Amino acid sequence: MDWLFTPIAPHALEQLEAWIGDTFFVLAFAFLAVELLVYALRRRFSGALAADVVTNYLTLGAFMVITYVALGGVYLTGFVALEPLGWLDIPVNAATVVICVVLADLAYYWEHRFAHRVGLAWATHSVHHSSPFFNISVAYRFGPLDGLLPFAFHAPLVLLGFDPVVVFFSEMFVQVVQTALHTELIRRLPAPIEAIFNTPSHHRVHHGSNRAYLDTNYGGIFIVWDRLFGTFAPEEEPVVYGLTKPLEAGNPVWAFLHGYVRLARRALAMPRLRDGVRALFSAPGWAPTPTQES
Amino acid sequence: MTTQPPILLPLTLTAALFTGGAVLASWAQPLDAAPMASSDPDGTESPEGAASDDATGTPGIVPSEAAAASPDAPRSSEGRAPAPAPPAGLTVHLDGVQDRGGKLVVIVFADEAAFAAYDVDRAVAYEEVAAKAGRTTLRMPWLRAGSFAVSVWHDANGNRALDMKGEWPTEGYGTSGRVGKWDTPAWSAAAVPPGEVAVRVHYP
Repeated sequence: MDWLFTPIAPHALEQLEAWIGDTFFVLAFAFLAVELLVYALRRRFSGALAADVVTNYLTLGAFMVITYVALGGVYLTGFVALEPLGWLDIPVNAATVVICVVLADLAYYWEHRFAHRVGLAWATHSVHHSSPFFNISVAYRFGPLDGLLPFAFHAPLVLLGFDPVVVFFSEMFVQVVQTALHTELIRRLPAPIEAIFNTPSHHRVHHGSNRAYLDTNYGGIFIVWDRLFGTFAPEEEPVVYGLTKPLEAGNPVWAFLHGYVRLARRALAMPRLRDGVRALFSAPGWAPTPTQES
Repeated sequence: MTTQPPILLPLTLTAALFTGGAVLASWAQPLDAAPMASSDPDGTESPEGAASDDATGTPGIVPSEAAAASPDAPRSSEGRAPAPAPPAGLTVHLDGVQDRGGKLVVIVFADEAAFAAYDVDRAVAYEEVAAKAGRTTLRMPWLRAGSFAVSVWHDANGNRALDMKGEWPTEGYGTSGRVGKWDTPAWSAAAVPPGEVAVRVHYP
C-alpha cells in the first residue's frame, strides 16, 4: 500500500493530465466515427446531424480561444494566489488525488446545478444543451464563458489545502468521464453501476427537454449526489434532446451566442427594471407573476 | 422535475463532506513521515535548522553519502523489511534540508553533456518544492529508462539564483553521488538508474 502514499511530483500530475486530455480527444474522434456509422446504418444520419457535429467543434474552438486567452490566466493566478491561504497542508499522492476527485465531483454537481438554475450561468451553459442530437461531439460543445464557473466552485478545494495542480487534475478527470457519457450507443449498464455512477442513460435524461427530465441528473462521475439532493430522474420515456425552445437557426455563431441574446431579450422585456435584473439571477423559466409555470 | 428538499440541508451536507474529505486527505502521509508526524503534524514547525538536520532520518534509512560512497550501491536501498516493490520511475529523496524557507530547486539530467554543462534547457526534470526541514521526497514516474544525475539547490531567499561567495555556494546544494560537501562528482559518479536515490543537501 506504500504506493498509495508515495509523494507524486505535481509536474508529473500535470503531464498525466495533459496526456489524458489529449488522448481522450483523439479517442473521441474515433468513437464519433463509429457513432456516425451506426446512425448511417440505421438511416438516422442527416445533413443536420453532420452540420451539428461541425458546430460542436466550432464552439469548442471559440471556447478554447476565450478560455486560454482571457480566463486561463485568471484561473491559474487565482488558484496559485489562493494556495497560501489553504487551511490544511495536503500532500500530493494517489490517495489524496482520489479523495480530491470525489470532492471535485461534488463541487461539479453544484457548479452544474448552478449553471442550470441561474440565468447568467445558463446563458453560457445552454449552448451545450442546444444540440438536438446526442453523440460524443456534443460533449465538446461549449458556451463562451463555460470556463468561468469551475473556478468559483473548485476554489474551496484549494482553500481547504489541496494543491492547485491536484484540483486541476480532478476537474479534468471529472470532465473526461462526463464526456464519455454523451452517446446513444450504450443503452444500460449493470444495475449496480447505474445506481452509483452517472451513465449514458442518466446523462441522456439530463439532456432531455421532456417535462419529467428538466433539471435532473447533474452529477459528473457519481449519480449519488442527485439521489442525495433530490434531482435524480431515471430514463423512462424516449428522450427529446435539446432546449425546450429549440434554436431558431442552425448557424454556429447563433448557437454559440444565443444564450446571452435570449437572456438579454427576456430581461429587457420585463416591464419593471428590478424584474429584469432578477431574471439575470433566476432560473431560466422564472417569471414575475407566480402563476406562470417554471 | 422531482421535488427538491430545502437547499440549506444539501449545502450543509456538501460543506461537511468537503471538510471531512480534506481532513482525511491531510492525514494521507507517506509512512516515512509518520515518526515526524507524532510531534509535528505537517512538518512546518520544525525547530531550528541544525537540530532538524540530524532529526531527519527515520531509523534504518541510509544517508546518501553512505549509499553513494559504495560504488555498487548508488541507489539507497533502505533497510526496511519487507521491502515493497520500488515504484516505476525515479524517486528522489532530499535529505538534511534545513529550515531556511524558500524553495528547493531540483534538476535532473539524463545525459553527460547536459550535466557537465549544467544546461537546464536539456534537463529532463525541473521541480521546485517548498523547502521544509528534514526529508522531502519527489516522484518522477516519467523517468523510467536511462541514467539520471540529480542536482538540487536551496533557493532560501527566493532570488532564483544559487548565491555564491567566491567559488562556493552560500546556499544549500547537493548532487547525486556526492561524497561530501567539497566533492564535485563527475557524471560516472552522479548517474543513477531509475529507482530511489537519496541526495543530501549541504550547507556552507
